[in-house]
Formats: sequence, structure tokens, C-alpha cells
Amino acid sequence: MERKTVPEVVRVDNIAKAYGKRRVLTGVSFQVERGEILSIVGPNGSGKTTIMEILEGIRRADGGKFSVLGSSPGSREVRERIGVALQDADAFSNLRVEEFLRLHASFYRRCLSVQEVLETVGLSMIRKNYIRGLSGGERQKLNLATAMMNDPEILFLDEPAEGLDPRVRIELRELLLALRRRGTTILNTTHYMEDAQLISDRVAVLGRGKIVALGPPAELIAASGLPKRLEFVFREHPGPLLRLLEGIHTSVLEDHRRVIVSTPSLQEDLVRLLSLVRTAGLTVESLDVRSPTLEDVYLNLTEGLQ
Amino acid sequence: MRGRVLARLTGSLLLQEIRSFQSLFWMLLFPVFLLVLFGLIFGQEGFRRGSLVVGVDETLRDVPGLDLRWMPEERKDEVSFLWLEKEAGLEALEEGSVYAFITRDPAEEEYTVIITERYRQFTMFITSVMDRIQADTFRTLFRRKSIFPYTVRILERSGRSFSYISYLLSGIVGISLMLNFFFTVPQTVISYRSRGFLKRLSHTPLSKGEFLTSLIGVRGIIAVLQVAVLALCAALFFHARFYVRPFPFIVVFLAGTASFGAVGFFLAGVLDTMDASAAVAQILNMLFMFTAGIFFPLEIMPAYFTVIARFNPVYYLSRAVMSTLFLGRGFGHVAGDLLVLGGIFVVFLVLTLVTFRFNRKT
Repeated sequence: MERKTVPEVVRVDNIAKAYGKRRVLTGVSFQVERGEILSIVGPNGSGKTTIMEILEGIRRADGGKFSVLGSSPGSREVRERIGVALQDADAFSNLRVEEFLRLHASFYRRCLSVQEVLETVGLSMIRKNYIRGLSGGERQKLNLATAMMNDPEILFLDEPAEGLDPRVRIELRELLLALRRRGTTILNTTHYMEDAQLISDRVAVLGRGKIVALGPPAELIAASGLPKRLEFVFREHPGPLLRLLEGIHTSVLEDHRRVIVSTPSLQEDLVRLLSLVRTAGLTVESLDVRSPTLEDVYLNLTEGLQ
Repeated sequence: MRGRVLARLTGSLLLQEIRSFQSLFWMLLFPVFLLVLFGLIFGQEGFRRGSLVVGVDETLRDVPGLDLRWMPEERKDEVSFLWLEKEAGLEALEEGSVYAFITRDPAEEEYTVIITERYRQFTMFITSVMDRIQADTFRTLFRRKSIFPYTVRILERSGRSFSYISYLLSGIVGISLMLNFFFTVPQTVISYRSRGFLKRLSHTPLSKGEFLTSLIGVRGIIAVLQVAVLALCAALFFHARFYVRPFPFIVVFLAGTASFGAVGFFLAGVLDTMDASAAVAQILNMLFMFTAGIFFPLEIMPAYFTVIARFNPVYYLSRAVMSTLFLGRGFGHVAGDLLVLGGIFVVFLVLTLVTFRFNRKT
């Protein structure tokens, strides 16, 4: 089969979608370049899954234009070339892991070997196990394995880290980065901002049916203008310091010994704050400098949108 | 349609089924349980213990006032009557499905009671029964005061074995197919759909036709297993004897599978929850089970049951199964049944193609 090669493997232009009177998407546009990881983040019900389903070809858009691999989503040719790992899809519980993957492999004209995929996702040790006995993490890996069976050009992942423990989430992140190194394009939705920040080339933040921010995580953070934060832990109650900070800095008393101070200018403010701490007669037990994260940017952008 | 995909998917769906105890119960144990239960109660001694099943010529319906339902209650335990066309009556007699057949030449006043060689030893008994019938039953039936003349004639060809168990097994084959498709198919499809499995499949190059064909294939294989197990049980425990016409039987079986499958897939398309599908399936199952004349012949049921049975696909299937599995009849006898089953298939196939969906309603 001759494959169409286009720079943007996914092109979305002003798509709209409503469920009854509820408008979920009101003009969403973006492109996904070949070989990049684009994460779509947004509040619950913001339309992340709807965008994915439209691009997977199982849901119709009410308006706008879109293409996947240069073709209309949902066509057999496109389905041969994409992989989809769903958020809530179950498998045949009475089949064994490798039986289920063999079944999936049979649907495609071109596919990887079951053994190779099992090793890639780390399931080869339990390939003979029944699916009904798998843990949540193993099921998510199986979801990913089925999506990888046809060695897809694009992977659509709908909240792949949902419900996974931290260790499995780390494994998943490493796996997705490994897939990107192989040239796979990944379109990912997630609620885990840490994951999105660590693995994504670009992040799209959805809110009120539109994309409210789109770009590399570092650029989104830099463009947000959010200040760095200094987190002090004192031996004593920091009441005297809080009184000195009134009207000078935005400060928050987290608990009876911890104070977080926002600072747009770290170098100058750090010196001044340490001076105020000495004036207040407090003893510093620890001091952390926290840069804004994608989660801070997300919370800032989506405040009041839910 | 890709053969490799169909084979792999059918095999996987089959494994999914047979590795579940619940599925195995409904697939095999429940039909066998029905067969054994009703077989033990009714099946050891012919139709009903101590009763004679007598065929009566359809043309005698024209006799003024004749209505077999007027048969006195106490006689119903001794004799059951079946209205049959003469040809069918003689065939039933030959096959052993009736003990005797009462007919009358239009030109003659005298009635003829025909029995088979097989029941020659019962001639005296039948004569005595006829005498008793004359004494009260027939007098009531025909509303005649006088005793009518009759002769007993023996049909020289030996009849085939026909017992209640043959009759029951045909019906249970119909019921099994019905449960298989009306209940299991919607439950399976809705379960796969609600758990996102069909959504998963819809992202692959697998077509809707390939999926439906595989699912029908699985149900067909299961149905074959059911028939084989039931037939084995009937032969082992109740000494049922089969007179199979293989090709007509296979066609009947396929027609039943296809038509019931189409109904099942239609239900799977229009119903969205397991609860709804279970409720609808239970209503249909109960309705069809008791109006198909499976456990008891329709002839001994109230007359309106016969009318209801005409709208019941299980009635046509079990009748056709009985003809081709036990009575050795060919297409000539089951053409009408096949036509009805074919009609059901076409109508519900069209409805299924319109309504079937991989995804949940949004």
C-alpha cells in the first residue's frame, strides 16, 4: 500500500460539535506534525474525547474540516494506519493476553509480531494470563499493546494514565517517549499535567469549546507570566513575617509553619525576604524555589471554565 | 469479508463463550435440563401415559356440530384427537405419530378406523375404545343419538417410531435457538457495547458485516452443539429414534439460525441496556415458548392458542425440525415453514442493518 506522506498528519480546522443543545466544541483548530506528541488537556466535559472520536472517525462533527493522514477519518485506509487506546474499552475477559493480541493483529494487513509488542509494553511475562485477572495497570498496557499491533503512524490515546499508580505512569511515559523516537505521532488526552509537561512536544488547553492555549509546555509556562514561588518552612509560627509582608508580597500561610511567597523577581526578592525573616526573628528550617508548572498554567487558564 | 479475520474472530468469540460457566449453563445445561425434566414426566410412554392419539380426517370438520373441543373432560385423559388431512393422517399413522386415523369415504355412510401393523395387537383395545367413543364421546361430538357404523382396517406398512420425546426435542431445539438468539445475542452485543469492546473494534479495519457474520457463526456453532447434545441425550435416555433428511434438516436449521439471529441482532441494535434486553427477551421467550405448542400439542390446548401460534416463529421452526429430524420429510413438507422463516430473516435483516451500531447512544 502506498502511503500518503504529508507534514501534518492531523489537520483540524474550526470543528464544532453539539450534543443536543449543549455545545461542546465551538471552533477548534490545530495541526499535529509527524512524529510529535500533542497532548490535549482541559476540564471534564471540555470536549477532549469528542475531538479524539471525531478524528478516529467514530463521531461526526457538526461543522469544520479535518483530516487524518491526508484522508477522511474513519476510512478503512486510515484505520489500517492508526492505533487507538481507549479510556473505557474492555477486552474479551475470557481470552488470554496473547490470544487477544493475535485477534487484533488479524484485523490488519500489516502488523508487528505479538511477541515484539508484548516485550515493548512489558507484558511478555503474563502473556498466558487471562484478561479477567489483569490489574488496572496491566489492562492499560494491554490497551496500548492493541493500539500498537499495526505499528501505527498515529496513536490516539484517550487518558492512558487514568487510574495508574505512579510507577506504572512513569513506565507509560517512558514507553510513549520510546514510541516517539521510533517516529510514531501521538495524540494524547490527559488530566495529568505532569505527564503532559514531561512527554509532550506541544500541549493544547481546551476551555469553553475552544483551544485557549497551544504550544510547547515551556513556552506556555513562560508566556503565562506566572511568578516563581518561594516556600519557607519555619521553626516558629511565622506571624511576625506575615505582618511585615502585608502590602509588599502575595503570601499564603499554608499551615502554621509554612509560608509560600510569590515572586516575579527571584534574585532581588530572595535577598529582601531573608532580611525580613531575620527582622521577624524566625528560624528557617527549609527553603524551596518553585518555578511555575504546566499545572499552574492550566489552573490559571481554566479558572472559572468548568 | 476476509476469511482469515472471520475465522480468528469467530474462534475468539467462541473461546470467550465456552470459558464462561454462565454461558455453558444457558447453552447446554438448560436445554438438557428442559429435555430431561419434561422427558421424565411425559416422555417414557408415548404422548401421554394411558392416552391414545387419534387422527381425524379434516373433511369431517364439515359434519354438522362436530367439534373435538366438546370432548368430555374425563375422556381427554384417554384419547386426544388431531385434525389432519387424509394424506397427512395416513402418513402420521405410518410414522406412528397417531395410533389410529378416522376417515370416511364421501360416498359411504360408514367410517373407517385405520390402524397400523405396529398396533395390530391393540386392535381389540382400539375397537373397545371406539365402542366406548360411540357410546358417549362421538355421540356427543357428532350430536347424534344413533350409533354410526365403522370398520377397523389395518394399514399394512409398519410405522416409524414417534414419541413424545421426539416431539419435545423438536420444540427444545426451537427454544434453544430462540434463547440463543433472542436472549444471548442482545445480551452479548449490549455487554460488548457498554464495556467499550465494540467501540474498540470500530477503530480497526474490521467491518460491521465481518463482526455480525462472526457473531452469527458463533451462535450457529453453539446451536449445532446444542442440537448434538440434545439429540444424544434424547437417544441415550429416552430411546428417541431419528429419521433425518440431512439436507432439508440443514436448510431448516440454517433458516432458523438466520431468522432468529436477525431478530436477535435487531433487538441488540434498538435496545441499549442489559436490563432492557433481558426484559424484552424474557417476555418474548415466555410468549413464544408457551404458544409454540412445544411442551404440549396445540391440539389439546384452547383453540385460540392455534391462532397465536401462527404468529410465533418458534412454532414454524420446531414443526420443520420435527419433520426433517424425526419424520424423514423433505422440502415438500417444510416449504411453508421455510418461507415464513425466510420472511422473518429478510425483514429483520433489513431492520438490523439500519439499526445496528457499535457505539453507545450519546
